[in-house]
Amino acid sequence: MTDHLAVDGLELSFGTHQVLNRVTFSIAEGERLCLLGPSGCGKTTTLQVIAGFIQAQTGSVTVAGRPIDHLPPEKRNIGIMFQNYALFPHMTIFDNVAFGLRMRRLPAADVEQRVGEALRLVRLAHAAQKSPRQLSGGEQQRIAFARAVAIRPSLLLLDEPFSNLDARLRIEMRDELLHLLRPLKIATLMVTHDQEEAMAIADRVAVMRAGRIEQIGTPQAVYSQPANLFVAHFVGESNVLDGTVLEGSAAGTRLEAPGLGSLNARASGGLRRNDQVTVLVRPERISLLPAGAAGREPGWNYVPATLDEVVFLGHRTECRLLAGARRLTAWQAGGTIEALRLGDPVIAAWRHDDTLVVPQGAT
Amino acid sequence: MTRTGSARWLRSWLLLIAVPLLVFGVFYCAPIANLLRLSFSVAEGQTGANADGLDIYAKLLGDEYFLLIVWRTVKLSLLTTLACAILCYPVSMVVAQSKGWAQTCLFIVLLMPLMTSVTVTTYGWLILLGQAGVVNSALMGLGVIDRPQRLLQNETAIVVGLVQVMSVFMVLSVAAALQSIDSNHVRAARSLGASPWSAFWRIVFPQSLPGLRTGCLLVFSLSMSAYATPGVLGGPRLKFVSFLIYQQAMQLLDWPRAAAMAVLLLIVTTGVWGLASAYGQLKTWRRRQAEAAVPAFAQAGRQGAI
Repeated sequence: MTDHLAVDGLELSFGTHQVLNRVTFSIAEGERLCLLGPSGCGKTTTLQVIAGFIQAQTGSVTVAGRPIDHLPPEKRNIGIMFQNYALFPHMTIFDNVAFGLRMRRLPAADVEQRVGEALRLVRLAHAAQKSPRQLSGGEQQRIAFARAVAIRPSLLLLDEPFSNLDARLRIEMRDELLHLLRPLKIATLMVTHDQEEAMAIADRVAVMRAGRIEQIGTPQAVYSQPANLFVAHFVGESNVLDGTVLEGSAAGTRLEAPGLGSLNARASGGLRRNDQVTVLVRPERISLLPAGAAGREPGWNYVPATLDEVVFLGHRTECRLLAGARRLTAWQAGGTIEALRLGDPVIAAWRHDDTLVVPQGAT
Repeated sequence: MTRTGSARWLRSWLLLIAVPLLVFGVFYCAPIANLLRLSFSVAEGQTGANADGLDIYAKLLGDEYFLLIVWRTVKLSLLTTLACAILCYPVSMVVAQSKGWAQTCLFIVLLMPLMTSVTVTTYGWLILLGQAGVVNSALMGLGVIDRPQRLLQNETAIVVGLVQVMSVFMVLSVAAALQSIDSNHVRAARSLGASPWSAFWRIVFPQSLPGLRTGCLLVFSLSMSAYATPGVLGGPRLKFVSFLIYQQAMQLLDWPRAAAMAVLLLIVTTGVWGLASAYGQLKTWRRRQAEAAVPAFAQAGRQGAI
């Protein structure tokens, strides 16, 4: 697949505040990429530069091999779904969806046909003559989507698409949007601060911080191999430990974690003996064994601990462990720890490969 | 909600609106009722064979001089409203787009005329537009004219003066409407292919119409009852209805006639406004009718839903 959208080295600063710092990424045809990051990280600014609302100081945006930096927004043929939907309140749903087509001076019959297609796509054909105010939040969002895709854009931008919906509807609309996006095969850039939304919708995720892209990759890769502590914290939850490297090789890293003893971790390049590192273990990767359990398999870390607190959350049980002075969190599915009681000694076990090492300083 | 609960709710609600109702009744309705009553009473010493209450109205409506002044008041008020709307809309856009300090400064400049007495501001125009005034001197200095022009005591001067006094009301209501428009609407329109002008005309302007309407209502009704500005700038020849009322009440002491004129002014003001909004309603209704030709797919969808 070829790059459909190419964003190259965008830079933008207001005074001393650098909003965008060499933002570079590309989206293949039909691919969905998500910019993920906390508020103020520059993700929405990036979207607005691509849409043409803001000019970057340096860098370029190319769509299908054609630079679009010099084009005003109306010449870019980019469909945008706004965070607050931005439906025109003084127009009917039909006129809202027809707006972009009428701006393109399509004959009335074509306008009607394509508005019909777009509205049927989002299953709201019956609402054509209603006003946006008469629709629910989820319906308004579907209309915003229909309006953005009715112009058959070369690129679709989704700005925090679910932030205006309540928690329940959010998941429903997430599935709905994915369902709508898949068959359209349109290059899509989504912006969100919610890692679950990002991972659910996107083919690839780009994690941003302070105007920079920290890591870009498939949701699986970003989750299981975070490039640094920031990404690890932002995408999912982690147990964070300090450690000192004892031995680093291509086969793996052996390190000493104060209070936990020696651990084996996934191989990480460029580590030398006595390097200070941060060790990350995802809570769902930690299994709990009764203290007396026999059998040690190769490729696993075993750490003795005490069960300090158990929080039942329905779909999982959160176990807080004390290993020496260290606190660990382990997530257990269902009722696997029913036999254990608070204060019981247990053994926390996780794979060497699930132990991630990030050099200290590389926050 | 229980019955006692709703009764309590109703009682507290009534208590809440009692105060405004009382104030409204005492300070607004009572004077108007009194005015009406007064207009139907017959002035002392004016007893005639057919001097019943309606006689004053009949005479006024048959009085060409009075009707001429009513016509002038309506015409110049409408002109003032139109000029205000056209001149103040761009100003409102600047006000709505400005932020922080700049906006505060703009508001201070706009509100200045309200803080000074209308008479004082109007006398300012005398200095500007007089025979030896700033405008005449400047135009003569530039060689545009070779002798002073009469810029005062004509209808243009009245409109100019009224526009200046009234513009703040127009700007405030239009700017409020513009400011409440979501800036994403313009961005959405642009992304869908609308040029800046098209986005303004199709998205911003229609949404600012309620504010424009309010501004027009304010300017028109205030102009209809203007007294000082037309008095000073129009001179004795070009009277407004309010000047006639003052004359009747204060100089001729004919209170019933003055009251009848005031009632007629009220009726004309609301009448003109009513006609204008009825015309607007009619246009919207016609457009709705035209739009009601529902596209086929929507109808199919509707039937499908049933």
